[in-house]
Amino acid sequence: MELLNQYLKGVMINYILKSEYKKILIIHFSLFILLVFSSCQKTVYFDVETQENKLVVNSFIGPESGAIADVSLSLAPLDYDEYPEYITNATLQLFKNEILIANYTYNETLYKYTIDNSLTAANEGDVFKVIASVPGKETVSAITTIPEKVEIENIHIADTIELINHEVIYDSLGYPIFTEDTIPYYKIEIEFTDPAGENYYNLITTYEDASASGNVCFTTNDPVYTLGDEFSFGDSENDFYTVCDNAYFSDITFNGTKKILTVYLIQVDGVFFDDPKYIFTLQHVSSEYYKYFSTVNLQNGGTDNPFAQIVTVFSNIEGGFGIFSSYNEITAEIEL
Amino acid sequence: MRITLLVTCICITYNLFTQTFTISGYISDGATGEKLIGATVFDTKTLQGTITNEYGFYSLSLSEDTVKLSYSYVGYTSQKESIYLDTDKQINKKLSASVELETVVISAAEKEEKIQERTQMSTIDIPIETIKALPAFLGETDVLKAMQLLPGVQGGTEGTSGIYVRGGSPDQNLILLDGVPVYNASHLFGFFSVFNSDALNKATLIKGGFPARYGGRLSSVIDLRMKEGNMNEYHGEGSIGLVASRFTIEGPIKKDTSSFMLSARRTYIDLLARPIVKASSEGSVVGYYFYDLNAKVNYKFSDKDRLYLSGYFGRDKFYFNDKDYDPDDYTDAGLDWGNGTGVIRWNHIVNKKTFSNTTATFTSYDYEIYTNLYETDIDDNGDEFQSIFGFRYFSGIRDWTLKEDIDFVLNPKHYIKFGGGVTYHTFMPGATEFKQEGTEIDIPEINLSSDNIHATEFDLYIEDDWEITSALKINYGLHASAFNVDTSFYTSLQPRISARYLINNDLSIKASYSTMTQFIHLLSNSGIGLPTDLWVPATDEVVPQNAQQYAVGFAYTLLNNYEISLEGYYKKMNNIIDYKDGASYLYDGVTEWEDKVESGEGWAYGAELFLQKRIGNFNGWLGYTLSWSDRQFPTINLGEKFPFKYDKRHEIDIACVYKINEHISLSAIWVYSSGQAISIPVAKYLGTYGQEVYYYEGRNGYRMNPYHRMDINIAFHKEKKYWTRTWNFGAYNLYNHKNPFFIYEDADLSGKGVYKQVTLFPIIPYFSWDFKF
Repeated sequence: MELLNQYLKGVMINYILKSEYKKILIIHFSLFILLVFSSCQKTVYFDVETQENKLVVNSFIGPESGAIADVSLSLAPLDYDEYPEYITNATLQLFKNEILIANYTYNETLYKYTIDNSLTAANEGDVFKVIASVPGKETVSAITTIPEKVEIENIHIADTIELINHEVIYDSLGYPIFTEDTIPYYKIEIEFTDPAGENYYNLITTYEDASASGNVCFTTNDPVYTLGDEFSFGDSENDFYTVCDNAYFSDITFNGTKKILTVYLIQVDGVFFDDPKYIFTLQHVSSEYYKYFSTVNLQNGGTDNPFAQIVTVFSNIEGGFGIFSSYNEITAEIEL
Repeated sequence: MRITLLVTCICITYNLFTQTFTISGYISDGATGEKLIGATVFDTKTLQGTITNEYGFYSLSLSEDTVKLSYSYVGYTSQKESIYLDTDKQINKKLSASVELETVVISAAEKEEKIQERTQMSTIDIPIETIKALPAFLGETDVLKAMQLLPGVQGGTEGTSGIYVRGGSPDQNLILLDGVPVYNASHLFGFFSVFNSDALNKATLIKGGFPARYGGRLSSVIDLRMKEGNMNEYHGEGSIGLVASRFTIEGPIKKDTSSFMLSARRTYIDLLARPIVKASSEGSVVGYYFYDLNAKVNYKFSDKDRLYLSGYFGRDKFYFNDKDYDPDDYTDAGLDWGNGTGVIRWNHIVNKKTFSNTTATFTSYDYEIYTNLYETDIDDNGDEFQSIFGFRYFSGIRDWTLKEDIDFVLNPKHYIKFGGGVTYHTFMPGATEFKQEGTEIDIPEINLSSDNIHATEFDLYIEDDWEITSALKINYGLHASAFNVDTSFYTSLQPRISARYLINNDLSIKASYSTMTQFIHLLSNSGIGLPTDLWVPATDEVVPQNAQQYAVGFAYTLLNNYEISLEGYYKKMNNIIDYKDGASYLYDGVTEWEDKVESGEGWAYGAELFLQKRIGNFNGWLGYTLSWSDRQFPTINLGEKFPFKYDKRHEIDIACVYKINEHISLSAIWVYSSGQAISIPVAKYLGTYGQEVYYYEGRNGYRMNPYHRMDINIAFHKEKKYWTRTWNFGAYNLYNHKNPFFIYEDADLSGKGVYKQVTLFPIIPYFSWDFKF
């Protein structure tokens, strides 16, 4: 008897489905169609308080290099048809330790405001201030402190080595073929001593021969440019990677100690250059300088990636946007 | 060893001065045999009592005398009996539901443990039947969505089942299904949770004051228990809805000895839409579905031994194939992910005061995305050949756990729990495979992957629920854990205490303190449970996260029917991780995940008001949350503190069910929350190289518009000869409020750039047809 009861309950599902089947079907399809048409996304305008028409000042000062600046106005981020334009009638005043030392003058060749290096001589710890004004706009200001000059104590070619170069070529159907060969490099070591406290640097590598000069990229396996650069991320292993133009780093991994930067330069003399010499400029930069370039480069690098986190670009311009920062630099040459 | 000695000494001391005997046993549902969790056993003469544990077991020690015992449970008719206690007794009780076949109305128990009497604070049980009675998105009842309606719980993005508890992130929730962690509780990119409510027996949310037996997560414990299966008769229930159907059957394998429960659910939008999609896309097949399977078997060897075997398996699959459109050159692509859990559990009554629970569990979560491109070409000899270029990315996590839990009821004033376990984790933090076949250069397989990481986690705990006086009761304990990964070995001691002091019979003041440690992290760009979210362990570089939480509050029962609680909390989180500025979760083949994240601190604090009516034709709750949640990292957002993505200042939740008569019941919810934080640029300007720089007012520096909506449901019940059916009709977002889902930039008709707000769900009607027999 119990088995019979269980059997009856078992076939009940079939009965339930049959008796209600038509009702379910009709309602289901009605609502499904309604859902398909109604659940499309709706879009409405969303108001955002934008910050256009604010002064933007980008200015750098080096005791031995002078000061340079550009001035422009900010735009609303969605002003697609407009591109920010430089302002040529701004007034920029430079103060050293609260004393006005000069006004920037507009250089029509460079499209920048400049001050000659004869007026910017300074010592470590001197505080510079810039005040920028444009008729009808809010006046902005910023300060920076001159960092200590850090000497390059030694620079030399430590070795010549061969590094593996990966390349991709394509077959007749357009499919990639991965190849690798070896290329000779000079291993160059640059030695300096990091002062106590928090310090930031920028290493600029350029070449110069009889007919030309310019920036060059270098290869390195020194993790200082990734681990030390708190605003960047990358390969933390000892793999080689290439750095171009400006190599920013902090002293987080060698604070207060002697540091030897290792740079690998490809042996191209005689191929592209005629008896070149390489110039290494070690800039000891202010924290604003480092934070600005670290973040602005990061933002520029991620603009095409919709999955990338947003980058808040550093600015120290009060009342506006941009950067006012300083550096103290030393240069060393090496002939290959 | 010290703990054992301590317990032994306490026991001996106690027995020297009193002559007591112990009544122990199980309390179960008389109709189904299902064990009742939290049922009360109470001696009305001495006013001493206890409640059943997670497996329906109780133990109550009383002095030799005549005792008047009352057995009760919410929604069940209580039973009383008077016995002379002169020896230890095992009494198993079966209680009958007070209102047969009626699921909405919950009647009062004679002596239910009231909210003000419980030591535990920041804990909410939601009856599964109430969850089922509430309006459900597209008719799919969802336990996690119901939990989003509780104070202190943020719901994340529109329509998703993400859970953010007291300013914590989703990875900080320990979601347990039959005691097994479920790593990704989302279907359909978070729109549904993986938990089929028909298969569930109990749902509990713990937001703070964590008992020592829980560990491994910082912000919450969501403890879900599956049904055991009816020991007496075969029963079934199911539902046919707009997007999915489900069916559950349970019954005895051998009456009063063993039972089973089997539950399944599947969506069928892909099947319904296939003809439309195929017609509109000239033969391409694209679709999505998910399914769940829950199963449980239990076998009673004796009055002292019971074995449970349960499991869950669920997957989501999105697929695309255009072979029918062009058989020569086509794409076969897909995305699928899912969880699997399994548990074997042995309950053993060691003696009248000691209950043992031995468990072995398995849980896994994996995610896969694949694309195979098939191309037909002509070679140099003029022969046709087909080439394949394949891409596959997969990641996942897998755990094996063995643990032992002991309940030791020393006396009515001390309920001690202790135990420990070991978990072996395998993390697969992302692998990418390429293959190329049929070309001049065949590449059998290139595997770019982060290596699997193996880790072992150890846990030990002891806790005591101690009634110091009739007014003062505390639950105190210690959770110790350790984690061994690579060359690192992390340890953690986590003290826990919660206390309640009865000011009078209806009002108590409560306070709690807990520390929690979490050895695993979730890398998530979305926070809504996307399958791309990646579980990773603490490593040498990314250390374990931990939190301290303080809470204080009042609990009050008004008119014996309304439970009111008001709590304030402060939570400090350390070593939590987030993506660095500019980082992306996409693996570029070079950057390891550890280099993309940064460890920092988090703060969450606020106040929560909860008013609940559990009894009567009209029941439900009202919750209000006032909260703040901030984060700070050394370099993210330039080192400045910023709001957590789901920092919402105000949240109001109202959920109610009203039974009009035996045949009709109404339910509605209304939610309001402050706008969600987003990051959008508010200016652009020229950088030093003349490039455009976008200015953000910090990470999460802007707010979307506030969110609010009302959902309603009306249910028509009809009892037929052999079964009961219910028609549910309802609407999500009844008044069609345009709630923000995300903001994007676009051009208006004049070509000027504007920000636009996308609303995902306008009013969405739904229905479901439920049956039960």
